[in-house]
Amino acid sequence: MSFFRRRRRIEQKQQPSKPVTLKSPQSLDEVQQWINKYFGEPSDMIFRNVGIGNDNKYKGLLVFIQDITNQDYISEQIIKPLKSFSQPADGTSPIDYLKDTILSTGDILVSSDFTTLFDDLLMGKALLFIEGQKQAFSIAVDDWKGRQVEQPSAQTVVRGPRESFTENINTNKALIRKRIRSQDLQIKSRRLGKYTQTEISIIYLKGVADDDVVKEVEKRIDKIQLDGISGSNQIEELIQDGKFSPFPTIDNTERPDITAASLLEGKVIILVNGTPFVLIAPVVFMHFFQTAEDYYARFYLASAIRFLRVLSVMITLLAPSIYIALTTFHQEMLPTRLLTNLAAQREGVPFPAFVEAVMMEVTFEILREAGIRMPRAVGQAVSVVGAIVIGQAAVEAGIVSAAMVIVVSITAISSFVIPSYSIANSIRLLRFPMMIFAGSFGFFGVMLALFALTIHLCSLKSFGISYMAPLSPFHLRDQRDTFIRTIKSYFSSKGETLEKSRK
Amino acid sequence: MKRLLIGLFIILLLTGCWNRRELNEIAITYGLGIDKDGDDFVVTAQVINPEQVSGQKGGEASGTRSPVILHEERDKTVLGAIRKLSRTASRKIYVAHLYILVFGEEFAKAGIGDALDLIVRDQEFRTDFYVFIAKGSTAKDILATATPFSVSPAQEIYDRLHYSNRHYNPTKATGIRELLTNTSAEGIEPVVQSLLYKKSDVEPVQQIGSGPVPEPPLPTGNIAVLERDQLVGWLNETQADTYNTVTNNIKHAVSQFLCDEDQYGAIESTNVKATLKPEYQVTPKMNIDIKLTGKINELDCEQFTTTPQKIRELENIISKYLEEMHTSNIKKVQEDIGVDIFGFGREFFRKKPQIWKQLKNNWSETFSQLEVDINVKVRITGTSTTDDSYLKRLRKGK
Repeated sequence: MSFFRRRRRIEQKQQPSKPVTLKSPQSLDEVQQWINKYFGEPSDMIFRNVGIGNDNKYKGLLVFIQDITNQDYISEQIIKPLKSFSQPADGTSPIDYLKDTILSTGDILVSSDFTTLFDDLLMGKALLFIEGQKQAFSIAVDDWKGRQVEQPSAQTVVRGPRESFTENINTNKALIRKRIRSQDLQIKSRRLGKYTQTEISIIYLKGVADDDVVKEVEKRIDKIQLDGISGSNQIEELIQDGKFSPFPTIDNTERPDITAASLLEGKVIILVNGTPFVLIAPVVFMHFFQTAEDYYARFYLASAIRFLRVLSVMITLLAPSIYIALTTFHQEMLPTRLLTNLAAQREGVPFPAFVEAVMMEVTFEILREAGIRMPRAVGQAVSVVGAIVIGQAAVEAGIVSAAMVIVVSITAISSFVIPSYSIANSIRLLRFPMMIFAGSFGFFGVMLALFALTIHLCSLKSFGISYMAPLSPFHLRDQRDTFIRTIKSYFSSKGETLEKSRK
Repeated sequence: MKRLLIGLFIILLLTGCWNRRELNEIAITYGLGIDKDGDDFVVTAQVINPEQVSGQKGGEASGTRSPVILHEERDKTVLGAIRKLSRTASRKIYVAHLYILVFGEEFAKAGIGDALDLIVRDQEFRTDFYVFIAKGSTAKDILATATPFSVSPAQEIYDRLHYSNRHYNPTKATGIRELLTNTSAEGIEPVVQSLLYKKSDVEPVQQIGSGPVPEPPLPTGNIAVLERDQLVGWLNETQADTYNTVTNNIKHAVSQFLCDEDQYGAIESTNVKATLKPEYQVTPKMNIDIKLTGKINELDCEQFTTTPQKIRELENIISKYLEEMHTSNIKKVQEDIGVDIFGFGREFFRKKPQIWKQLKNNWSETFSQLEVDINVKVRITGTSTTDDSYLKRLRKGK
């Protein structure tokens, strides 16, 4: 209950702040006091009095935040030109003249609304107030510190582009624009998060993406009310279908080429400022087993590797449960000599196969998690300890049987073959309930769990698209790029799945 | 929530195979022997000790304990006796991985039918093990003998039969399924391979290299002929050869033939196919066409030249030789044993069901007098890697 109460309290807090407008005309000192009061005298805010024109005809006040603006740019493009100002002869107002003739920056805005101006200040713009005028300039001089475009680290390919998104949303938009130079590329932005004011962009290809899907995405994003957004996963969790499903219904990628390909397939991309991972929606289950590499390798190989991935998924999900079911329920299904060997190994192992399996799988998960969270320098120690503890000592101490170690290893390695990290996690997690079913009902239980899983998968939807499409509902044309990949001219970018499986 | 609970409850009711047992709770039985003593069944189980059998290193005290253990119990039913075995075996006897099932000769003479119902009925028995009759001994004698090659005697016997069945004509491997079918089917009677119990007078070899090379303690014996479930006679080697040829139980046969006055050659057949054609005019008659394709693999006649004409002649000689052999063998079986092991009756039943209705009541007598016409066609496709006999070159060189 306390959870809900807390939520209500947060909602109450989110009231729009009172709008402030600039009273006309104001003295520059007053303006400075105003700003200091509003922001609480921040130490990185710079107030710079500038004389406009070589005869200092007008007095101006330039306000900006030091660390997020480009100082050179301010002095070269704002302060210098202002010095060369001279009163126009034809009687145009000094504001218009400054804007149109003197200030030579691209993004410039004139406003009298303090709320907008102060927001702009926080976005890295410089504000220019002029004594005796009721309007002020907001000049784009932002210079956010961030990473350069680097090689992708999570989704690598052998043959293919080596760019990846950065934390800067503008860079990311540029990377997409670089790949799709079409007037149909639509970018809709909005700010989310009461305090963070994070920019979120919805990108799609007009005419290719389904209008309903775009509308649905926009609708769901507009519903979000949060204090702050720190990553794209927060958005993903709030807008996805099947919130409690173990399977992700929104994909993410750090590769601009995958993003561009998804746009061409009619998907909607969601960019979140501050995250190098963009969201792709809607996605189907089979999408998670396809990689960019598939399209950069020969199609025979690509198809073969896709089969390998599906096999790996099966192994990850089922290997421990099959081992448990076979050794505790269905011994007659093993070849006799294998059974003899397994029985010899299990001789003296104190735990039932199920406990043994759970123990080893949990040990593996602990080691894996430790390997990820450890500082890189210590990582090696983990792998050494892991190899010795899991591999040898456990067997020699008679705690687990050697065959169990093989099962755990093959499960672990298979799980790393799955290209999408998010679905690999879901499947790795699901093998534990699978093991429970196998341990209590044998293959009957495994089949039962698989049935339940299949039913769940078939009932899932991602923004109106059936999750199991194009397998169920079946689309023959899309089979060319599902389990196998044929040569590109044989299938259009936009699959039947996105066209037809809406209900 | 209510629905979920009901669903879970239903799942609990569906547990048809609630027989969870760990690998170290079962006694994997490789060989099972059944004898009869008075009214009681005597069941012998050869249970393995996995650690000693698997051949893995690092097992506790590997090689110091016996790989197999023999348990024996008697009771009024087979299952009763098997369950009684748990008095001596610390685990449940697990028969799904049975290699061999042995019946003692005395029991077989009296009829093994009494013991078969359990095997038909029990779901734990897989129907892929071989059946044997212990010739001149009890099943226990066979299962109590250690073998030199494999640590588990039952496994060795199984392997021996399994491979011999492929490569050696007279061997017949009878699986339990075939036995069960043929004991109850019309117009065919089962045969079962036998094992001889040979009491070894040689002390078991303690160290490699010391003492004489041991002979296999359980040689394969003749094939036993059963009528229904009773042992009625034995086939000798060439009769077994004929049996396997006629019943198409030969894959890669080796047929020997006389190529010179007293010298032999051998052809290895790649394909042997016997076709049974029942015929009925006044009296029933069975025509058997045997087609044999193969190549010469051994030729001990130096005079023989492998020209095409000679080989054609040879084909005729072999055909005639095999024809005579098979004819006389079948005749012997008809006269001496008088049991239709070849399935001639079944062939009548399949191809001439109307006639079979008349014949079936008196089939065993009809079989003894049945006219059998064997026609062998041999085709030699090659002479392997050389042409004339090596002997020719050997003698000529000197």
